Amino acid sequence: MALLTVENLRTTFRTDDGPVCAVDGVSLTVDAGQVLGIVGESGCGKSAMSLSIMGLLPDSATVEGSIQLGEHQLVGMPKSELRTLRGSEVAMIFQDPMTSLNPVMTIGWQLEEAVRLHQKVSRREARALAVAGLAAVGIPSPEDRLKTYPHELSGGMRQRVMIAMALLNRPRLLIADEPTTALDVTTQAQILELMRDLRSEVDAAIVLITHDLGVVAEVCDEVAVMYAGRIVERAPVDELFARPQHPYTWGLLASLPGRNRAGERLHQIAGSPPSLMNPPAGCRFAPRCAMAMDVCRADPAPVLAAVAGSDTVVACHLDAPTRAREGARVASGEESA
Amino acid sequence: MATVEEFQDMQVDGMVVARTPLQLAVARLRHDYVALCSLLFIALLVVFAFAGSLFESWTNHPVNKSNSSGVDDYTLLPVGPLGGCSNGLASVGEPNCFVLGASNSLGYDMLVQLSYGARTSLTIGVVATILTVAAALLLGVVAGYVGGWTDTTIARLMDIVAAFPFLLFAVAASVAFGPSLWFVILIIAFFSWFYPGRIFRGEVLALRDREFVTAARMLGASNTRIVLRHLLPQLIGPVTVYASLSIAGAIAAEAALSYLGFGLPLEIPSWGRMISDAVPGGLYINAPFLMVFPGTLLILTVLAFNLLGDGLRDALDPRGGTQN
Repeated sequence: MALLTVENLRTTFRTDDGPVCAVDGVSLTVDAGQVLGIVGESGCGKSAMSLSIMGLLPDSATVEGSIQLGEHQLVGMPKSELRTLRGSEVAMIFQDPMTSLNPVMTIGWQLEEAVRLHQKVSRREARALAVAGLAAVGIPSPEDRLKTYPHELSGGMRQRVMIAMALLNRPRLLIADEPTTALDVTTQAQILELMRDLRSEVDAAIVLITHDLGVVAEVCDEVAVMYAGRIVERAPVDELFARPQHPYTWGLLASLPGRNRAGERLHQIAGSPPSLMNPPAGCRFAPRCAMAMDVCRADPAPVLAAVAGSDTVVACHLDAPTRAREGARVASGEESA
Repeated sequence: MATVEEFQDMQVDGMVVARTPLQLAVARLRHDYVALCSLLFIALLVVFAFAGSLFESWTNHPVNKSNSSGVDDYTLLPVGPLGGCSNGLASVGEPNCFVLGASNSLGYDMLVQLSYGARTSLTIGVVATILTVAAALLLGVVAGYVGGWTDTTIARLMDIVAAFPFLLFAVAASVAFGPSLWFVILIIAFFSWFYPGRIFRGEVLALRDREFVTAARMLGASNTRIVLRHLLPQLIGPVTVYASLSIAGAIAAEAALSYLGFGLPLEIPSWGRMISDAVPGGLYINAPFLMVFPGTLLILTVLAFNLLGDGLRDALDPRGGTQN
């Protein structure tokens, strides 16, 4: 049975200009020990979805649908109960390690606090767990590091500390919201390697949110492509790169740099994501899609449907042969239509 | 912006050692001579204030007691060149002369009155500041952290208190409640909390949405814990700075009230009242030190706390503020 089952998740923000539906009917499942990547442009609802799962959204947001984590139903759970789950059952790693550690407290203080929030242990035991946690994420001489302040550590080190902190209480679900975006490329590679190593060790389900398809290829088992608050394609990682099915996925893949086109301008998807306050009818990608047909611009929107002969599901009106042909073209590195 | 000395401080056996924020602040403060002088002055003032009973037994002039030998029977002016010292500094120990050798028009011993006045000023400054900062922290942090209607209500309350004319209200209330030490402390605290309160509110507002707060929440920390263990420690800097500035403000406010003759009961010596005692009949023209001594002490004290506050601000938050 899946560890995390999200069904028909709708997250709506109340704003001065009216409600904004940042996540619109998302369903997904993640198993223990599996890494699910969620990709998409900025503003397509990736972070809103992860914060919905964590219950960390401001009061102006309403979450509907179902988020089943193990035996816990997170939607509608009282705040106090949700708090006991945070940090113990589900933890999160943030984008910017520079700002997600308290600047005036030592690393040790923060790690020990994380332990003692959920485990009834003595200070000494908490310290030992903190040291073990730091050692597990590959920080040298962890005892000495306990006394340091965040500003004394490099970005990569801080992200390691954040990961250690998130894993201290052995969560069953780890959400990583662009954990490598703020790091330089070398450090990124190290952190990704760390996450790959940890994944087999801790046996937690990991949801990795990113807009970097390179990161997805490195660590994920399965990928969900999000656009304008909806999942448009979900596929095992090899499938996604070998046989991408959705025009938006093609666009993302084509815009990766370094695909046999040195010196050329990078491909870009024309236009920008629609306003979620007043999204277009039908397929939300239709206004930017080169292959959009009349049926795409009219309700109802296409629903996720299995692609014959693979584990991929896609929400697109295009017929299977066209998708296969165009997908293959993009996958081989040619410019898409 | 570390100075050469600061870098030298960092070097221990040729290694750069990491230091805590407190160590950094102390290191910066150590090179701020203005702040250090202020601190020294304040320390001396505290000693001076505690020495009151010592001065009493030394000069044999009890506090708040007229010494007829210090006043000319005919003119009713303090006798001697400094306005009361008949024999100069040489005759220390003689019952009618003392070190600074001035007494006010009632024949009070000036040195003793100044010492007890320092005690009054420091007491009011410190106690009023503790109340001010406590109220400012409570209301400022709650407003900044909770937000929404709570914030609006508290912010408007701050505006209302800020709009009150302090002296007018204090004088009227003093007449209504009668003079007392606690009344002065409370009225000063009541009219001071809104200013640091706004500052703390702003600080918390800025800190509240920082990622490390979300990270703490992600780990399952409650709101109470976030405020007490994560946000309050960040406010140590501003609290220290505004406490220092608030002591200066409270001392000046007390002096102003006492000068006007309101607030403190007559048996509590006060610099402000000493100054006002020198005014009737142009006493200060013949005996200028009646005004000069308490006036100078008052100015220096307020200045010292203000400069210390500035120095602390520079030391704790080197980004902004004055260069020195």
